[in-house]
Amino acid sequence: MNLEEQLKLQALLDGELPPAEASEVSGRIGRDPAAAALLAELKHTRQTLQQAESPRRLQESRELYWSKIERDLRRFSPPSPARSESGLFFKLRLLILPTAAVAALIIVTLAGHFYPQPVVQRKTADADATTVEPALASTDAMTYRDASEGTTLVWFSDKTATVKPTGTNRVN
Amino acid sequence: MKPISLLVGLLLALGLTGLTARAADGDLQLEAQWILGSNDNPAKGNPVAPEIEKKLKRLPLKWQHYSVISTQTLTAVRDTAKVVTLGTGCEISVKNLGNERVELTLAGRGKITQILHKGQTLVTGGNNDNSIVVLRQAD
Amino acid sequence: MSGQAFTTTDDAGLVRLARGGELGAFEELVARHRDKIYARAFSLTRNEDEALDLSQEAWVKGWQRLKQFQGEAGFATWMTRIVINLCLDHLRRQKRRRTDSLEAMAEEYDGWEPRLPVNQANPTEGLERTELRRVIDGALEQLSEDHRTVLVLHEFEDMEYKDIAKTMGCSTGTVMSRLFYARRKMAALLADWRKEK
Repeated sequence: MNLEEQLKLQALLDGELPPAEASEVSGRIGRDPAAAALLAELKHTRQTLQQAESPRRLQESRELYWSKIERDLRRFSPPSPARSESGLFFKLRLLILPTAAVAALIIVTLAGHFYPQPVVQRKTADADATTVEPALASTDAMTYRDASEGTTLVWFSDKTATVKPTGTNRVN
Repeated sequence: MKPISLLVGLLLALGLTGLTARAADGDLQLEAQWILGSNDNPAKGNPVAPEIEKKLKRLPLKWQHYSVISTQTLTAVRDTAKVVTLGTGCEISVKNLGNERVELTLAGRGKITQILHKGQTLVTGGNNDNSIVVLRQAD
Repeated sequence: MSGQAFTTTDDAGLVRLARGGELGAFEELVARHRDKIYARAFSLTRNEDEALDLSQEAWVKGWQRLKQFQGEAGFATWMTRIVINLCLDHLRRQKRRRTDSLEAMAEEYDGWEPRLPVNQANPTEGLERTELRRVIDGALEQLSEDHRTVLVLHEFEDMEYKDIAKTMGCSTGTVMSRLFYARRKMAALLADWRKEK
């Protein structure tokens, strides 16, 4: 058997041969012991692999694994709020939301005195502005500033990278 | 020597010293660190200084622990670029643009221009890499 | 609301909630399927740290693309496709080609087949399941990335040749010859292991 014939045998096993060709190859197996032996070997290897994939469990706790994902989710794409304009819930929202917003503002203002948070700075024309020139056209750059600590982070990424900032933290 | 010559000489010397001082004022003493980020616990290598660790942990980076690969201090002379090799695969160029404004070039990644007052820190890195470069004025 | 409040909701319900911005529902999806996604990443990269990072990236990407999930396949299957693509992108970027080029040469040589005799005996007969898994794992480790990838996608993910070709960015013919070589190599490794025992 040459390689092409062997590959057809494999395709027969995998159900990838068109019916006419499948019939022709099946006929060959009956006449050729070497073909039958090869098919048996391929079949056994396939069955063994499918039965015996090693299960792998993450060692990290649920909370730790999720915390890193959540941080990236919030950084790159904050969840869009649920939208519902039906009836009573929507009407209640008109009352609840402003009240909640005022309460949150009070809490945040008070908390800010005790737990200063990093500030994301928007586009600024002041002298402290960071300018970034990526080396390649295929590179993006993201800037994040923690004003209270005086830290600026500039992160370069390939434009083909899968996780990208959506611009909320971008400072040009 | 006549007193007048002495006085002129003294004034000249003071003037030159002043010029030198102004030039020295234009130089920046910087510290560049190449830092490894990891989530191993305990982390391998020498840990970063607590004040740096505090800054890094407030950034949206995915690592829990940071350790120093190498540290170099450099004098960035006004309008002169200085190439610093922090290690194999990590070369930076630092240029002092005056008024505490620095231009940091991370080889293969890009160029960043930033004011870097004392106490401020510039952190940079890129994807497909678990190390970062930290630049700040030396203590 | 934390993910643990959604333990009785099915995947479809969780996806609906997550689409509406309910992060807790997405957290529950992550908790349910994280081992599977991580395991698939590990089977392709053979590196725990990379598999961890890539699996987490996959979840972020899944969240970003949630509106595109139509429910034609199960959610876990959909997420698995995401992590597979991320892993293959990652491996391509790493460009570990030395072994692959040698293997590719072996693949193209028409006369290589006689060097790998057909294995008659069942090399894994009598093995306890845990031991069998360990042996398979060790054998997979010895394959090149391309051969391991095509084997994982076909045998563990039940992907068709054309889908594997599209995912790996190669021709169907290349998928077929890589799969053939990978299976024969696995059979030879298992037979060798049996002989040593």
